[in-house]
Amino acid sequence: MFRHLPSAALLVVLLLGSLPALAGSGSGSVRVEPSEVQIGVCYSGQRLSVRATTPSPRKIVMRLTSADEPLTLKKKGKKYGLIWRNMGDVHFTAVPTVYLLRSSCSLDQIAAPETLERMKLGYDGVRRQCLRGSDDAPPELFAELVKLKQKDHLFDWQAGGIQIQPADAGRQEAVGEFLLPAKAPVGDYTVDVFAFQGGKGELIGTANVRLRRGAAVSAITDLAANHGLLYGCLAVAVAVLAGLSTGLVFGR
Amino acid sequence: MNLDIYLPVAANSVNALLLVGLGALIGLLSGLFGVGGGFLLTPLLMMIGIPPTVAAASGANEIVAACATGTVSHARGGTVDFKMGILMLIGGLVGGTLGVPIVHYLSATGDADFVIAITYVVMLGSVGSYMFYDSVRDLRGGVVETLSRPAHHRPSIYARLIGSLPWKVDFPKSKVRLSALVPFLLGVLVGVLSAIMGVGGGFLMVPVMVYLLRMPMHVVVGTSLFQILFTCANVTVMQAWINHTVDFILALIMLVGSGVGTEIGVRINRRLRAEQLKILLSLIVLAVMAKMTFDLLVPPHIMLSYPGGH
Repeated sequence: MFRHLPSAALLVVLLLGSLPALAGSGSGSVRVEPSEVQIGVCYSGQRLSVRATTPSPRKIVMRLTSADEPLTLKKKGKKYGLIWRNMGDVHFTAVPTVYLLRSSCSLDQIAAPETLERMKLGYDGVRRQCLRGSDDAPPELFAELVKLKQKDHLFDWQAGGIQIQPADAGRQEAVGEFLLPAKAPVGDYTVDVFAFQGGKGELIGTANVRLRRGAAVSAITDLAANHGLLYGCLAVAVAVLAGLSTGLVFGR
Repeated sequence: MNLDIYLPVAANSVNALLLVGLGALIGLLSGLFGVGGGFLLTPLLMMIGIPPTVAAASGANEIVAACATGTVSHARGGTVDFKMGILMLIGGLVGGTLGVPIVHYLSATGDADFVIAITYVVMLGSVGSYMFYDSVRDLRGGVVETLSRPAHHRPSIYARLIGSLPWKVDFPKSKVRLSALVPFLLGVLVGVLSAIMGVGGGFLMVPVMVYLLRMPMHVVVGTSLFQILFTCANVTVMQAWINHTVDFILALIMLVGSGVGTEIGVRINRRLRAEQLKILLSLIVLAVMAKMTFDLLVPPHIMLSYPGGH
């Protein structure tokens, strides 16, 4: 009887894997579509639709993040009191590469700042983890880090972008959307949905999104990373051929 | 219609038409003035979201194509001095090799960014100002084509110095007779500066050929393109091999525009007088210098940056 157990387990895993990202660690469920994104030749970012079923009535916050990583940046400063240049490194301990936040109303209407900070909702929560244990990153530079990330759309925070509608059995469905920016690196991302009532919040559920390279992009990236000399020679050869061809076409 | 294209090494998405337009602009400069355009292309690519290291390396790849087109067009018109170009190229490669340890030393002391920025401003400022002054003077005086000084003038110290050097060689295309050491040593000088500044060196090479080698402007453009073709090919291969920062797709899309731009530039070049070409180039060089000076003096909008930029 037990001999079919591994096959059955494998089948369950495959079935689960084929479903859209769907999870429910709390008192609701979260679904993200698409749950897997391929970077193709015409990729320019991807819209992700998030649907969560939660108890009603609740205020909702959705968060998309990547794993935290240490980050070293260059700090600008004045040289000889006149010229603005890079003046040394700044090390942040644990920075999410991507941090996107959506909420059904402004965060100050949802919970107290300390509650939000503890749950890492809003930049104050991120600041604490970024600066923890860092000797050379003064707190005021965190605002500059946010500006730098916002420029590439890697950090983004929008209030009021979530639609809430009634669902069955006294529950509600919250629908939100994230735009995964083109600069987001390949890897796994986590979408967390929080529900708040009376200033108290709980994690309703979590879903995962995987961003990976398509075949063509992967082939070029691999060639560039693992066969640099060949890649460089090919790049020059194609450039010379293209240049000579153009010259010949115009020369006729 | 989605015209965005994903650049695998830059890891970002950019509008393809924008890249074609940038390629055309840089190609136009190459064909018109004999400069690779790296001093303009790298900052422009950074402005549209390409990381600085990828912008510099991929720009060099794109310039290879523009220079190949330009070299063929100029060679067909008989305005490439291959003998002079090869001597300067050998000097440039030696100078580039000597310049790399200098950059390495400056990086170790933490002064590389500062020295590079100041070198840019000083070189662009001095070269641009002198070319502008000289072109205006020539236009007023009605001097055509070359900068050869009247014979009755007493030769300058520089003229006497290069006249005393051995291994004199005729350069019929350039209509000069010089020691082979002169183009070689000037190539070394430009090579060192190019290594420090991270560019092909065209905007330095052109004034060197005009003012120090006394070559006719129309031969200068073709010969400069011939020399930059090899310099940038070398940079592309080295960057791809060691730093993995060449985005071939980025370069390929710009090639579409640069070929056309270069050809148009070459045709305009043949219709303009030498002084007009010089005054246009000097204005572009001075504009880039002014922008760099502004960036150095005005507080940046964001006080942090990713490693790799200046």
